[in-house]
Amino acid sequence: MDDSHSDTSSVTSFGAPVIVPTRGDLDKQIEKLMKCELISEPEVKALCSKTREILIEESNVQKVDTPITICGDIHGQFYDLMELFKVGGMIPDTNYLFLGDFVDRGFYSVETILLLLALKVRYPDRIMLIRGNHESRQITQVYGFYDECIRKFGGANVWRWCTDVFDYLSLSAVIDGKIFCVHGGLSPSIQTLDEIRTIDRKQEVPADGPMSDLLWSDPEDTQGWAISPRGAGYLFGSDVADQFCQSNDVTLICRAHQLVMEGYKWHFNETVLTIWSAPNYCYRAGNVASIMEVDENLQKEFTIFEAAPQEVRGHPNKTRPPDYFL
Amino acid sequence: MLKRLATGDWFTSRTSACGLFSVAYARVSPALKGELRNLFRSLCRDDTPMVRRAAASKLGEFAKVVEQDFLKDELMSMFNDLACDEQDSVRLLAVEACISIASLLNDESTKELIKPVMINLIEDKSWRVRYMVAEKFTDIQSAVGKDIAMAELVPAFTNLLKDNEAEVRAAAAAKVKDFCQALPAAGREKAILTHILPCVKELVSDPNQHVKTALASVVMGLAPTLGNDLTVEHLLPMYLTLLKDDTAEVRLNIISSLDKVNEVIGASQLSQSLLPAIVELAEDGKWRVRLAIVEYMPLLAAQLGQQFFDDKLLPLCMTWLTDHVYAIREAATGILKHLTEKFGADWAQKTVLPKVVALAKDTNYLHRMTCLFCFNTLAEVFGAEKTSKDILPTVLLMSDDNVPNVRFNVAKSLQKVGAVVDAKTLNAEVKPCLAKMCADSEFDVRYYAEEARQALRLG
Repeated sequence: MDDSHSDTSSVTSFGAPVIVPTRGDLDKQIEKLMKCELISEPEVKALCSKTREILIEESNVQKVDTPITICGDIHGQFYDLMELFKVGGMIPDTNYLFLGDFVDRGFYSVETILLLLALKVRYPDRIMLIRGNHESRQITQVYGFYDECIRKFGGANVWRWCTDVFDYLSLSAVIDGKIFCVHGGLSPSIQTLDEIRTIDRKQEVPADGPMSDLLWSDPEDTQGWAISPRGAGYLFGSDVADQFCQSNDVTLICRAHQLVMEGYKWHFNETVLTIWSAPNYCYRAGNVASIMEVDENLQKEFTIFEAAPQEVRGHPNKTRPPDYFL
Repeated sequence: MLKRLATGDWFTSRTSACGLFSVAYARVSPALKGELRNLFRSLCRDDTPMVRRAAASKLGEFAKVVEQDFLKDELMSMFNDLACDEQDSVRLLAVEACISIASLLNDESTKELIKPVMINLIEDKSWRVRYMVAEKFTDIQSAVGKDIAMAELVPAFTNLLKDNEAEVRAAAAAKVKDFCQALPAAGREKAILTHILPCVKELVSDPNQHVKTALASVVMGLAPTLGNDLTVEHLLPMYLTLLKDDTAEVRLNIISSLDKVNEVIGASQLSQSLLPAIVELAEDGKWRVRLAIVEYMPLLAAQLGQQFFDDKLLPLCMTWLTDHVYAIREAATGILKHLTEKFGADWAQKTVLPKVVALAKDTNYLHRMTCLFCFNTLAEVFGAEKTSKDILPTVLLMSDDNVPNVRFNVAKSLQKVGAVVDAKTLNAEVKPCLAKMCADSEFDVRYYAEEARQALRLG
C-alpha cells in the first residue's frame, strides 16, 4: 500500500509499455461498457495508461469552456448514469464536467469508472473529470470499489491501475474564469487559485492539508472555519466563500460531496452550490438527482432526474448457493 | 448415497437428498424405485420444515419421472400432505408442484383428484400462498384444462382480485389479460362481463399504487378480446381514469399500450375521448410519460389524418424539439421521419421545416444541434433538390458556430446531406466548407470533418 503512493511504483504497476488503443478500439470498448459489460484486463491496462498520459497534462485548476453540463457524485450507480446521459445528452454532443466520486457504494463502480475513462480518452476535450474523496486507495478499500474489482476481475490489478489513474485526476476546474468547481470545498490553507496550482497532486489523497481539504470540506451556515465531523476537511462559512470568490474573481463555487434530496442546493446567497447526481442514493435514500447546464452566457439551467426504472436495470449477478451438499 | 443422505441425522443432508431423486429414479430397478418412492414420502413428512420445503419444491420434478400409476396414488397423497402442511412456506411451494402434477395427469383424473386440493390452496389462509397462486394463475389455468378453468377458476380468480392483501391483488391484476384470453371462447365474453370486469372496475381506484400499476400494464390488452362496442362501453372509462392517475407508472403503462386499443375503437372515438387526455400528458412532468406520448404520435397521425394532426398535434411535436430532456428531443427528431414519410416531403417542407430552421439561431447549443439532427433525418426523405435548397444553406451557415460541438455536428450533417445532394452542389458548397473545418482549432471538429471528407470521397 504505502509504497504505491510514490510515482515510481505506479510506473511499475503498469509494467512494460502497453499497446495504445486506437479510436476504433475505444469506440468498441465504449459500446460494450455502455451496455454494462466489462472489457478485458489488458484493455483496462492500456486504457488506464492512456488516461494517465492525458490527465498528466491537465492543470490542478483546469480551465474549461462553456457550454458545459456539470454533474455531481455518481457512486457506481451505472444505470442511473445512463439515465443522466438520456436526460443530458450523450458525449461527445454534450460537454460534461464530473465533480468526482465516480466509484464506491453502487453495484457498478468498475463499469462506471471504466466507461468514464474510455470516454475521457476518446473525447478528452468533451469530458472533464476531477477527483473526489472516493478516488483514493484508502477509501475504495472500505467502500466497495476494491472488493468489486476483486470480484469482477479475480484480482487487484484493475483496482491498482484505476487508483493509479486517480492520482493524476485534476483537483478542480474553472469555467470561463467565473465558476470554480471542486469536489468538496475550500481549505484554510488556500486563498487563491494559484495556491492550488502549486500543489503536487500526483499522490494518494493525504490525510490532511490543502489537497485533502479541497476534496473533503463542506459549506456550513456559520462564519469562518470549523472542524468537520467527517474527520477530514473543514466546514467553511459564508464569509469564507465570499472572500474566496472576491479574491479570485469568481461568481460561484460549484461542488458535490453531500447528498441533497432535491438534487441541488444553493448556499450563502447563491455563492456556493451543491450538485448531486446519484438518484435514490445507495438504492434507498429516495432522493432525486440533478445536472446543471451552463450556457455560453453562464446562464444556468437545472434538470432533475430520478433513478432508472427497474425494467432498464440489469440485475447484479447473484450466484445461487447449490441446493445440495455432497 | 441417496439413501444415506435421505436418512442422515442432519436436516441439511436430507434437504440435499430431495433434489437427487428425480435423477436417480429413472436409472434404477423397479424394486429400488419402490424404495425411493417410500423414502421420498418420508421426506415429505419429515419433522423439519426445511426438508419438507425441499421435498415440496422437488415434487414436480420427481413427478415427471414417476410412472402414471404411482403418480395417481402415491404421489398424489404426498402432494396432499404437503398442500395442507402446517407451514405456509411449504404450502407455497406445493403450488408449483400442483401445476406440474396437474399437467401430467389426464383430464378426467385431474379434475377428480387435484381440484379440491387446488381450491384449498387458492383459498389458503396465508397471503403468501395466495400470492403464489395469483403469480402462477395462468399456469394453473393451462394445467387444469378448459372446463375446470371456467367452472372453478373464474370465481377463484375474482376472489384473488378482491383479496384483502394488496400484493395478492397486484399479482392477480397482472394476470387479467392472459387469464381472460385463455378462457374458452364459448362463454368467455359472459364470464368477463359478469364476473371479472366488475372486479377490475374496483381495482381502477384501488388504494394501492402497485395494484393499479400492475393492472395498467395489462388492461389495454383486454380491448381486442372484447371488441369495439364493449371496449367503448366498459373499458374506455377505466382507461381515462387510469390516464389521470397520480402515479406516473400507471399513466405510463396505459400510454405505452395505447396502440392495442387503436385498432379496436377507431378514429372518431379516439379523437373524442382519448385525445384530450393524451394532449394533457404531452406536458407531463415525468419525461418517460412524455416519451411514450411522443412515440405514440406516428400511430395517431396515421389514424387521425393530416388535417387533424396539423391542428392538434403538430404544435406539440415542435415543442418537444426544445424539451429540456435529451431523450425527448431525440425521439421528437426521430418521429419527423415517420411523419414525413406519411404526409410527404411537401408537407414537411411547409409545416415542419420553418420551425426547424429557426432552431439554428436558438441560444442553447443543444437546441442548435437538435436542428442539425432534424436535418439529418429530413435529408433522407427530402431528395436532392429540396435538401440543397432548404437544408444545406442553414447547415453551412452553422459551420461558423462558436461552440465546437455544433461545428463537429455540422461536419457530421454535411456527411449525410452531402450524400443526398448532386455532385455539383457537393463540390461547390460542401467541399470548401469541409476543407475549412479540417483546419479548425478544435480536434473533434477536424476529426469529424476529415471523416466526412473521406466518406464523401472529397479527398
